[in-house]
Amino acid sequence: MRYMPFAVALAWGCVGGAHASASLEALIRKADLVLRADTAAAVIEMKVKTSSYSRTMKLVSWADDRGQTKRALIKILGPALWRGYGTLKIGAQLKLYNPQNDNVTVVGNSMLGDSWMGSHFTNDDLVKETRLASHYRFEQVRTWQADAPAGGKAQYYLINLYPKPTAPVAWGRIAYTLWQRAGVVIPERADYFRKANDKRPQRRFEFTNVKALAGRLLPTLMKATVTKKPGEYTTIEYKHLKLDLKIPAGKFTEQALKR
Amino acid sequence: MIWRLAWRSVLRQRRRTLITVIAISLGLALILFSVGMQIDTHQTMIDLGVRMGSGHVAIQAEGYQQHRSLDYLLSGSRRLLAQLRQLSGVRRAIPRLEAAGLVRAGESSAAIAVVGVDPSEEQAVAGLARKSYRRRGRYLSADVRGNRPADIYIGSGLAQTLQVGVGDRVVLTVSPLDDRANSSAAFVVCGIFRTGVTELDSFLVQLPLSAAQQLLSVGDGLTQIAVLLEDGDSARATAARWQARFAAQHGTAMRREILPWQVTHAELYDGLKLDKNFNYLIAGIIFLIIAIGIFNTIQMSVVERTRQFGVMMALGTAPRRMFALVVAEATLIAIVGAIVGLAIGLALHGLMVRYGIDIETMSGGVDSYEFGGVALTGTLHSRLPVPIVALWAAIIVAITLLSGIYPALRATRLRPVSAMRHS
Amino acid sequence: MAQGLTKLAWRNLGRNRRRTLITASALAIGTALTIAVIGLIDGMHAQLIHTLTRLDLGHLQAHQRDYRRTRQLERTLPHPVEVRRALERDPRVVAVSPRVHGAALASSGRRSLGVSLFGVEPRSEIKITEFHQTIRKGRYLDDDPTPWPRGRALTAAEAVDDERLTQQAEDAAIAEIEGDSQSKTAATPARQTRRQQTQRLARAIAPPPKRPPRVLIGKTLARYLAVGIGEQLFVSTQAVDGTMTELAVEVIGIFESGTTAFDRTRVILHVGDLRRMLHLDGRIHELAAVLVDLDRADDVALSLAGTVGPDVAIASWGMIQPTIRHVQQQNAAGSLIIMLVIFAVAALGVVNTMLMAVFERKREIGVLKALGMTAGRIVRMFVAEATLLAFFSALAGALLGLLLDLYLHQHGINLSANGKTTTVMGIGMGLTLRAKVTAFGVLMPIFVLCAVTLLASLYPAWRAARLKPAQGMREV
Repeated sequence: MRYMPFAVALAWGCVGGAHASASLEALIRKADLVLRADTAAAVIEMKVKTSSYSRTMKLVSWADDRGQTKRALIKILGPALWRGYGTLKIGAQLKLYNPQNDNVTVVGNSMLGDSWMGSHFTNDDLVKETRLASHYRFEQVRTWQADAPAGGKAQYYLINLYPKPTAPVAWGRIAYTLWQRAGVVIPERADYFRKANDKRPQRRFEFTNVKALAGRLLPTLMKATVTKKPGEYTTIEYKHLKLDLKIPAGKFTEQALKR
Repeated sequence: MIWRLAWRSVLRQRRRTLITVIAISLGLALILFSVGMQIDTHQTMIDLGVRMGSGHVAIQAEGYQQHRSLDYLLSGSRRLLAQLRQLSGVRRAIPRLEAAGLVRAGESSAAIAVVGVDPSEEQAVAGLARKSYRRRGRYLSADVRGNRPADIYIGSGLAQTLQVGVGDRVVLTVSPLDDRANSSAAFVVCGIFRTGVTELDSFLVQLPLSAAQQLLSVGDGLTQIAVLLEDGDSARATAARWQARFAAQHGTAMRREILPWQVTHAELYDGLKLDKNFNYLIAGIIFLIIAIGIFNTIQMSVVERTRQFGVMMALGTAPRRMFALVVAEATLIAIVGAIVGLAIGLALHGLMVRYGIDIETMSGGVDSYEFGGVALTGTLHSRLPVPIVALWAAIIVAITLLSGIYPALRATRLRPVSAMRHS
Repeated sequence: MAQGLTKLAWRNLGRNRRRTLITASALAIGTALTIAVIGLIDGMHAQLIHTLTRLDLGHLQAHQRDYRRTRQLERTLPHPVEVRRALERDPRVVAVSPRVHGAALASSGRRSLGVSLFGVEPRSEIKITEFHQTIRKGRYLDDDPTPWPRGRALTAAEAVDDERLTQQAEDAAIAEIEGDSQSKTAATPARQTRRQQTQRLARAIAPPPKRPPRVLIGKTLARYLAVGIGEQLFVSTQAVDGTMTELAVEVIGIFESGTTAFDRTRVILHVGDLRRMLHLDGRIHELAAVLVDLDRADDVALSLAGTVGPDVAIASWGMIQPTIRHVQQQNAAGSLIIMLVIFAVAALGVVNTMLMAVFERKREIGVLKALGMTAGRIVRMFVAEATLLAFFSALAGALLGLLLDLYLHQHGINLSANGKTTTVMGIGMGLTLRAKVTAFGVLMPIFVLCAVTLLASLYPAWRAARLKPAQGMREV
């Protein structure tokens, strides 16, 4: 499976289906198509709102999903307090760079539970390879017609994703809402449940601002909320995106992380 | 002759003898009771401690004890295990692989210690795997297959933190030693234990060894082999012997540390020593008081019989015989007291072996009692090896005899004439 | 009449002085040793409580309501100034000190270890905990925090600069993404100046300390990280706003508290420094207080709880660590049983001696009875004897016991051969066990002694009272 820049992929955790029932697989494959690329680079705006602070950050993200080892680099572009901070992911290894004292930290398991750049994602979220296709099996709950955000009528699907037995995912179920119109499938919402039969999700991702970017119609704003912390959220918005680009050599090295 | 005389004079003061005998036997019975309970408690704690922890003897790569990191892996462990299991005196050789990790369920996560274990071995060893600790579910299954998650055995505290129950999935992330690329895998909670030791209940999980080795990519590497010996008391000597033999075989090329439980469980060892010393102190007090009581009684009986002794001396009885008579009396009292004490003590011991004392009743509603890193649960019984019983009985007889010596000496120093004048 | 009885009893006791002395000495020694044992057991509890209160908790703590349960950085104490004032105003409170807690990874060279950061106000903390007395090398913290310039908001001009820099970085990033080779070559020098300007702005908002903050660490940690006095180690932690802080700190003192956990994982530093590291501004997690009477901590906690508002939780050491109470209760029950047995054995000695006295004085008692002394009076006479015996034994025993206690308090008993401390219910015991003298621990054995002796005298007294006058006379 190929992914979008991983800062998004980590939240999206999308999508592709090898073992799903044929129609669902096709559907999710299409949704995946929207977000899928061998390589991607994007300028992203991240907003974090918590009970004690709110901040907005610009960041650039590079991702290469070819090959066994997925690689990604994120650099913070601003504001000043965080400009130059970097995160390098090579496979399951995560390195953090702090420009203030020119220090690279390898994230060991004692830091995995820490929040990433103060957002609602943890380092662990970034480390984990979430492959919906190989990690989950699908089950359609229902389908209906409604107005699509991009205009016109769309066919909506609510699909339950259950982790496959050995998949290293800590969720019991993901309820995935997506819609299809004119051959394009767009994700709308993903609810993450602790246990398969839980009524209340612990996490929710909402995908909005569907518009054309990098030649594709896709949701450009993603909002993550945590049920345990009402009123708090992290949003990620694409400002600029390029897919299947040629990534400069040496992008996923410690030098690039520090640069 | 002397014995008959002594026996007669002991019987003459039946009530006094009886009371002295009661004092001796009560003291001995109490000591036997508390020693029995203590031996059992200590043995149980050591046994539990070494089963859950590092065995009577722990074999590790040199430096592991101090650094506790995967940089210190025990190599060639499979052969080592096989070798150890063939040694006489080795009851079990238990492979363990320990590392730090993060366990996650949904939004909740916790930093924990991960221990890879051989499930069937652990069940035979009955440390953390023992049934009395299990609150829910079952113990790990050794059956690790690629197509379903391996089992994970977690503590009640952790289960609460993560809000998980038996059958729930959790994801475990560890940092293998090479470049700290984290590796994750899903596990299913097979069972939940509660020992009463927070460090275990909230911060320790067990996995099947093969799953742990795979997750940590250490091949067949182990961090420790915990060895249970047939004779736990020989731990120090065995560890020293093995260390010497190993050094002779391998020189400095391969370094291992072979440590007895007194080192790996130093907290427990010190705690037990403290408890033992307290008991000795109390036994000492009881003996002292008994000694004074006996001294007084015999002294009195000598004084009472001043006239009798005077007559005996006047009739030419040698002082030595007088001395022997008094000591013989003391001996008789001691022996009778010891026998009655043994009877009571052993009866109490029997009761304790049969029924025991429930920890929950003893500690007022807490179902386990942590001491030196080991939590006792269930019921305490009594354990009394024959040499220990004999030792304490001998001590009490000896003390009785010692207390009789001064009055006996006094009897020999009586002057016949003045003694006879004594009313 | 009663006085006559006492005089009579006194004379009787004096009649066989040696026997009386020996019997009394058994009782006295029993009392003394029991007092010593209770002193040691109390000493053990005191040690546990001491470890708990004087190396960690204090007697009383105030937190944000959910802090103790969640230990989350952002759950800081509401209205710390008011709460502190309320605590300090209370006459039952001796001292109050603010604290901040954090978790970090401490590293030096290749070695790293998870540690707990313990931010204290050095001047007031010495009245709460005794870490300053356990420093083996180096010295205690300075009164003042590390000079650490305050951050400020950017000026309007700087803010514009910052936005421009972000925009430039964004433009450069987009250019690179789009593969614009022209801007790629131009990017390197521009990046350098951006970095310098960013540094300047970042230092205005969050300036670094003037020198590495000074910390105290435990002996075990120092050995593990191989750092000595004056040397530095790196501490990386996540601030309350999610930023990672990595900071070099300087070790100025190495302590050895005797509690393994503290010596291995605790890093003590100035509360002001830790607050800066965690971006907590003026906030604190905890107020720890020491009280006049630690045994009344529960009452004080409960009475103060009502005065500080619903968001603040006040708890005594006993509420925070209830397990120690179980240990106490259980040991109290155990020592009572032991005491009873000891005195039962001693009492048997009393029975024996007094019975002997009864038989020795058969004749005399017979005469007294013949002269019309009632059985009740005879019983009272013997009980009076026992009372006197008990009284003097208790006196001697208490004195001896106190001496023993004092000795055991002064010198203590070494608990650990290898420098590791044992734990009871999860609490470290310290390296030396010292006896503790309490009124209860002295009076209780005396009480039990008197009670048991009096009970023991009843049987001989009853036997004496049952003697028939004639029977007594006939022996003459």
